[in-house]
Amino acid sequence: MAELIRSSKACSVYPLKMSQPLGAVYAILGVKNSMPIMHGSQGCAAFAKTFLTRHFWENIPMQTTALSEIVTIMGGDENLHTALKNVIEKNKPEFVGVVSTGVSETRGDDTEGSIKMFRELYDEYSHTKIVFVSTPDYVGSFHEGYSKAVSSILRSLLRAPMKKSPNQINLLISYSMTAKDIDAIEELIKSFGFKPVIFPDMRSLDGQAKAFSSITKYGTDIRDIEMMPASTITIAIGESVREAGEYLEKKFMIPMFYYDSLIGLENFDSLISLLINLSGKEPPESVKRWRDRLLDAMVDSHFYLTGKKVVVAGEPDFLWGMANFLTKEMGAEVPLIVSPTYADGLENLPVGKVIIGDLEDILLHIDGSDIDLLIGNTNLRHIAKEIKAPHYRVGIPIFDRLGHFLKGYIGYEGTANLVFELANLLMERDEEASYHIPEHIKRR
Amino acid sequence: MKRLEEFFFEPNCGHNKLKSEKEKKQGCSKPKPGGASGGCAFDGAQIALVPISDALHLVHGPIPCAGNSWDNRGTRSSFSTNYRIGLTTDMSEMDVVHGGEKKLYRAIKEVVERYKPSAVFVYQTCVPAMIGDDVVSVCKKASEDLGVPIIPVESPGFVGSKNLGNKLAGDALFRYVIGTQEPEYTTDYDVNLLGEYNIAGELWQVKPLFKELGIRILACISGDVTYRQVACAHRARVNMVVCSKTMLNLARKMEEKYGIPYFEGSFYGIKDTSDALRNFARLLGSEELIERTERLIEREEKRIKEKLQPYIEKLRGKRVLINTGGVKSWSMVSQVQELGMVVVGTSGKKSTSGDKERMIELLGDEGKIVDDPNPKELVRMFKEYDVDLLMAGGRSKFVALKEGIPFLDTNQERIKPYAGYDGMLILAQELVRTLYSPVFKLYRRKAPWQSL
Repeated sequence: MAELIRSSKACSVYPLKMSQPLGAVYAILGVKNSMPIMHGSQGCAAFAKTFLTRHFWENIPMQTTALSEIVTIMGGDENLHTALKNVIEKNKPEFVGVVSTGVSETRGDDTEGSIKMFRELYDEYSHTKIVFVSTPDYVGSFHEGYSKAVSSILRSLLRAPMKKSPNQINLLISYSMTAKDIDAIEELIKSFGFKPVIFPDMRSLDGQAKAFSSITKYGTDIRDIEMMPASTITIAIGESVREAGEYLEKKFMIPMFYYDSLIGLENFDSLISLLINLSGKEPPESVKRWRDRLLDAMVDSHFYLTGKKVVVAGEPDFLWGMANFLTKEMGAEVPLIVSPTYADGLENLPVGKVIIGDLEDILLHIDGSDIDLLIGNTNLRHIAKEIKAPHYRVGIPIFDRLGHFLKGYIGYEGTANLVFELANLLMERDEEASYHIPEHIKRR
Repeated sequence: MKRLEEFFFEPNCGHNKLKSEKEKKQGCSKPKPGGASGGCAFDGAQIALVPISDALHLVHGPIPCAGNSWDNRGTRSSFSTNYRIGLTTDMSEMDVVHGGEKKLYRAIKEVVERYKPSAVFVYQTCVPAMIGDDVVSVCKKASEDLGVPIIPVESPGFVGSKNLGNKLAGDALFRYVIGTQEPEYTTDYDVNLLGEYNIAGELWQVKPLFKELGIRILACISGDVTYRQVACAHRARVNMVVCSKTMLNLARKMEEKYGIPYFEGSFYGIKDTSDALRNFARLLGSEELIERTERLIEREEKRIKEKLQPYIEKLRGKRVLINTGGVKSWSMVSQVQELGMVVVGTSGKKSTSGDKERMIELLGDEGKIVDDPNPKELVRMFKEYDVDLLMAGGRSKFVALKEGIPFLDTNQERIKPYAGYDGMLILAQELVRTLYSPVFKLYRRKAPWQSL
């Protein structure tokens, strides 16, 4: 059990937290032909759009209801309705996700009611699905926003139970997974003869070349989402989608198998066992081969990672796999993890302290001990500079490195990539240090 | 909202002069629901003030305003790194219900004690404005208690666009900062730059020229500048407005109150840089300075033109489309023309009528002014005008790259400086790099299975 500390500062310094609407938008972008609309002042959407554009190096479909000072004070449905009309007419999305913000929530908008009224007033737009997610900026973080959006989309699109389709599996995906991670799990599940329904499918932002599009070109097809009640099981990866998995379990009696992460050998062994049991088949040769390679990679890397002190910061889903793998499987020490928001079970991780706070809290809680490696988003570089530690970029946002979304972190292959990258950073640092001439030698 | 209206009556704004009485009443153009893409007033205020680098910049509001935007500008500083610390009161639900003033006060106190800044700028955002947090009073009280200037910036996003936010920032400086301190000494050659943000270190490229001429930059508002320098800015003899519209209101007010004359100009391109230096010499009014300036211009122009020659050979005749805002929409036209390139179009979206006149003059018959440079229009123009390269901000980057068009980032996220004479060389190098990269050839090649 770790010591759970909730930062009590009035001022968040070097913030780690990202807003709920941003998390909700992230999930909405995982639906095919979709467009998120932020119900707030235009800055709410502009910041989020720029933020995600810099992270993915992709155009990010997003629109705003652009609340002005008059509308903000006087209220009314007009901006939302105009935004919906404009977006549907101009961009022709199949799916529109409306997320609220601090502005619309403080005003006390009944956005859901307003969308209903829009439905009644404008029959001609009935072909476009509209889902509302309530995400006031002043509650929760990215994690909760993502979680709410995934659940809200299922709740509003899924209706009656269906006849079971024996080979179909629901796959609920954490925001911590990259395009490469999603490829890997899809391929694995298919190799056992199952058909996965992957949701949200963030490969919509995986960097397709050629031709600009103003809505998402890829992602989960709405028709596939509507077929989810027909699945035999749900595999939920990440705390953020556990609630959605539980909903499918309760409403449609689909058993859920939950994994907090698929980083590391043990987690993946467990998933492979499940699939062997369900299908009665063996995994393909390549999977067996990669298990061997991962073991070899871990052996090779242990010289650099075992016994090292690593601090991990990020939204909750990024923390589970990283902390467990580093400590339990690589023998590193994690004195500290930082999350911007509390999530159930964080304090059970094999780490020293769990801090609910910001990046400055790392400086305030490392108690002068030397940290060998920092793992977290781009903003962590400020702390890395101050304590002169190498910094491995994992998380959101990453805007000072390219290609992070096409790297794999899960499964035997992805974990091998991760462990090499971490070890290489420490190897480089150690090499440099070995050339350093100590002061007392110089003086002689 | 009387004060807000004032900003729309800017008498020296070219945009405003052309409007009818009715249009004037409507103020600057408003964001369109479902069709808006720019930042909000808070964004603009932050852009203009954050470069005051030894001050802290504390955003009063829920997380997204600071959380999604902190440390996102390429401004550089040689004084302090305070400006890069993201600070926000991160308002919670309880703060919305009970009011955020107390938390704001505590936040100011905490950061003043921990970071000992020269001043703190406190930004008002939408949510605290809506619940009625009195940021001005909190700042006044905190300033008295802590003995540090605490400057309120009333910039809730919903009042308007990024441009308006720049003006709100200028207003905050004029009200609370400029004229509050006195420089240790003054000279007859003290000047200010307004609207220069030292993105990628561009101010540092022109600074040596000023130094050589004996002109002292008292304050650059805002780029690589201290709070104290801004506070002393009222002792300058001349102001230069660098980014056309945004700081015009500040320049006019400083002229009215302190009698400081100003001119609009740019440091992009050889001719514009020379013109800016000439204008300073002329307004500072010393024959000897004017003569020295001409000698420097002659020497620098000759030096840089020689260095540029090999690049010009590679760039000559290449067709460029420019999509950028404000002063850059015309100053960059002349800049790339000086490199022998053909400008097939430039954006008139955020330009004043004065800007547009300059564009028409520069473009001649070859180029067009694009009034609505949306992605689809850009894609159409790539094909119709046989465009070799797009120069634009990050927003249009992927429109170009998806179409296999080389791209040069000219906005705040770029990391190379393009200002002054030496900036021309860097610009030329970057243009050659992207235009001659083999990736664009490979991009158009078919995949092996496509030819089967």
